Amino acid sequence: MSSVNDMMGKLRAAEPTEVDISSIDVKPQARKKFEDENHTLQGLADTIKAHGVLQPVVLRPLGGGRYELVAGERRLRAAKLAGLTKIPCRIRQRSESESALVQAVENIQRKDLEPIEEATMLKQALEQLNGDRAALLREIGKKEAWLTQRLNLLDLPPQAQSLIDEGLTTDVTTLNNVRQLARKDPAAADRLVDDARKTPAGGAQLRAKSEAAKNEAKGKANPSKAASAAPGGGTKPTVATPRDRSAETPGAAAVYTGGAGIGGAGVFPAPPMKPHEKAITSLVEAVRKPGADAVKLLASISAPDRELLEQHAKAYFEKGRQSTDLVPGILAGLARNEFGKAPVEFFNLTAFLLAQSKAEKMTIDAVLAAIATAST
Amino acid sequence: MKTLTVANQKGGVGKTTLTVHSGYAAAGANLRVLMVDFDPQASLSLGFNIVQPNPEYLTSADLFSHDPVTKKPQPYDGNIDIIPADERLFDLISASTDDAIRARTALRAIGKARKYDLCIIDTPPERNLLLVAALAIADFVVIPMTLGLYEQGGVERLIETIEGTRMALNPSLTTLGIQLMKTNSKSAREREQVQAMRDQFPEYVLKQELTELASVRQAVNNRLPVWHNPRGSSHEKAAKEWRLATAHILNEVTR
Repeated sequence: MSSVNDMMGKLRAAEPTEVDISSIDVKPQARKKFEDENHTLQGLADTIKAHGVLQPVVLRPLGGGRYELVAGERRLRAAKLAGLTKIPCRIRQRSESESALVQAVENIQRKDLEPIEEATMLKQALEQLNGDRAALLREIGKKEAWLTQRLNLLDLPPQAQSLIDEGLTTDVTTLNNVRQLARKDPAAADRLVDDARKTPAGGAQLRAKSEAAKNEAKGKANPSKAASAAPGGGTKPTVATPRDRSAETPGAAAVYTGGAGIGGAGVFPAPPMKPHEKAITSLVEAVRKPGADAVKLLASISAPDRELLEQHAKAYFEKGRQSTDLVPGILAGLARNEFGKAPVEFFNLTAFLLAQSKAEKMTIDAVLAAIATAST
Repeated sequence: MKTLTVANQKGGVGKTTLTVHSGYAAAGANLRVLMVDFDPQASLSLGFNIVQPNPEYLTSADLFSHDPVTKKPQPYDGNIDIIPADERLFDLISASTDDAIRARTALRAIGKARKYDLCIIDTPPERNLLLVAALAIADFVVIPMTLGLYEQGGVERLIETIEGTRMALNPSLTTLGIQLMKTNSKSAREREQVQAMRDQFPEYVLKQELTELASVRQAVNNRLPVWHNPRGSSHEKAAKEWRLATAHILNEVTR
């Protein structure tokens, strides 16, 4: 009896963890460049002298005590330069073709990505994982802050976008600084971009400037808040309309806010939910639970919100009725985040599909009943 | 009987679609084909319209049983028979390598007795005993791969599993190479990646890549090979690509 883990363990057992550098054959590799200004071979050799080779090279046995290098040519060269005679290694019982396969795959992944390209791929990967950030972070082995910084690049203000478009920088930190600066003080962000155009500087310099400007803007009183406070006084009635209405119908308001669990707190703050969207959330959550009384809940919704709710559902029902081809219609809804698993998205999708299932007239009850059936 | 296993330890790369099409292509070339589903998620079985296996016929879990195999694979269509997955497969995920050897013996006996030319095995997207058994049985393994950001880990871990299985259970296992799936001919970056890969490692990346096209998904939904009755230029393109790719794989396996 042997488990898969035992089997894989045996693969590692009886392997030397260190071999003579002179017993390693190096085949000419695709990678020709082993140093650049930031990563000199001598620099690595110095590190190796001080700390040893931290990451073992990967070897393939050739028989007769000789090995072929699979991965780690730069480390091997630097170790020789540092005067080492032995090098830590991992041995792989790979056929030549399998070693080449791994190298092929590694090489395409290693190609430096432009930050925006990387961000786009991260966003796609996140969508594939149904938005599960924790799963994505596990897969890429990075910290939350790193991911947030990358994803923020897809939502850049015009100033930061200009920096990229005009080839002034693609530095992630700089772009994020400009992003924050533009939110606090757009004029200062404009000035920074102008400055960068006039006196093109090195990446480090621009980064430092953006950092300083961001901190300065942070220090000041928030100008956007200050600006909106004054006219805000004059427009109070319209801004406060939803709040006033919920105050008129305290029972209903209690129902909406009672349905907790509205979406996970993402990094991008979701736009605040409108009252009828909150109502939809509560209703959908209610019908998904066994024993909940959706009818009573529906009856407790105020007349104006009820009307908005009907309009909202009808809009999707109409879309569904006019959609001659189901698949592109659904895909478009998914792409616009109108359809999905979250309560409002699921409600939209159900209303849309209800029209497709030959329902003549849309009723909220019918949508909720369909959701209830799907949830049992 | 030659056996081909389709494997990648990452899900969603198009394993089952490649398995199904290789089966159709072989049947079209007048080979007697046995399709075997080693994935407890049973996508291959679904692809051949088996939602609930018929108890009269053999399922893949039976191959691991200590009892002698008396049932037959289920006939699907002319040249194709299938051994579908059933729920008992879940219990075998952490079985022992002895069980893998038993499955190999059973499958080879069936192949001989029923004169199949080719057996194609679909696998679960993770390292477990079922994947190891499929590799222990196979003469060849092909690795479907997409060009996403995180594909490398899946291929590397699979190659490790192949090494381990070859050493412990199946010295004659041959890796055919990587079949690029769901590629995007409009992405300059992807073109560049593929070109770099081909320049450096021409033999290991199979010649015909398979473009991401809606007609492939439709064909899967209709349970027909993509080259069945192609309509429109995009469908024609998909049909041609899949014919060439599967023909290449089958040539390698049957020569």
